[in-house]
Amino acid sequence: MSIEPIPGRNARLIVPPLVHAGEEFQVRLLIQHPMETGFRRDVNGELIEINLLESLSLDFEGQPVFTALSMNALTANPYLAFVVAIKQSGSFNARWRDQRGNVGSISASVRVVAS
Amino acid sequence: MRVCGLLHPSPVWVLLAALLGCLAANASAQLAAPQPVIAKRDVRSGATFTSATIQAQQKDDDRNPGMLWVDQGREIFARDCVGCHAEPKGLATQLPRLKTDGSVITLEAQINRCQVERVKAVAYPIESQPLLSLATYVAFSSRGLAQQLPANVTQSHAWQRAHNEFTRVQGKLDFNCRACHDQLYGKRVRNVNISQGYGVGYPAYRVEWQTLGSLNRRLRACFFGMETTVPATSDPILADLELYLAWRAQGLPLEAPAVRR
Repeated sequence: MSIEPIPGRNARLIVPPLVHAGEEFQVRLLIQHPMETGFRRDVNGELIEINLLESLSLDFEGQPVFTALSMNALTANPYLAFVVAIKQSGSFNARWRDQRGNVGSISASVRVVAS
Repeated sequence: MRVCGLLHPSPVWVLLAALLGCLAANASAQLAAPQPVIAKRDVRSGATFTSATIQAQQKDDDRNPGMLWVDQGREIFARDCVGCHAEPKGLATQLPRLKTDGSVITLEAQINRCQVERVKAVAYPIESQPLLSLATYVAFSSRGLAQQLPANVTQSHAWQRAHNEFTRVQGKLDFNCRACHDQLYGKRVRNVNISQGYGVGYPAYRVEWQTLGSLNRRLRACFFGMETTVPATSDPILADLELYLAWRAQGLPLEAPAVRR
């Protein structure tokens, strides 16, 4: 049975709404994706075609922050967390593409307050 | 016919006697109502049998992959369900419930009933993304609340059928459900902790499945693990067992979407 995620709602990008300039904080990204390894079989015994996230990147106001190359050891529905610090308010934008050409993106904005 | 030396056998007295007899029978039935093997004070959520890592993942909504299904369910609920249900909170506590014909209607079955009778749409396929999403969102909305059982649940045929199934020794390994989940919980089978076997965390994200699944799917996995015949998804015994597990859980709060091993 194919699983059809509802477009635009298959990820969570979590950032604190307010931070101080230069303060380190965590950006957390949770993506709904089966991360098919190509080794599993469906109910009819047919191999399920490999389908991994092949590119995953996050930028802040157009500036690259984080890029990941994911391979089949990464779990389905991957969770990624990393630490960043910013000087001014803006939004983070994450994009990814899988081997079947499905693309997804999500953004979240952070406001910097004077420290 | 004389009922008593002092009384005339008027219809009023006969009726009263019958009424008292009924009350007495009812009281004795309640006294003798079967109780779950695990006492209420010893009831523990399945989460307490998982590793610290998995417990932390369940507690943190930003890391719990089940929340992805909750997000989608919230959208479907806002589109299809708010016409009848202004408030999703508490809906899941009424399920599984007993229908008048004695069969059990589960959370997923109720959603599909609404889908056909109210939304006037085609029922969702079992374990499909929208059905799981809606079920997870509805269950999530009752997080922390206890399931409400039908009155006199232990007198229902569904309870009796599930009780027989729960205690019936079956499969190549000569197991019944009770052997592990009522008697050996906290011990290990292969490399997993045996839980007390409740459904309060479902629909749950299972690491083994690498996805979220219903209690129906989990129960079928139990039968598979016992090396016995796995019932079809539509088999009413699975719905009966869902009701039976809710009875065994004795008010343990709902915690969907749980994360399980």
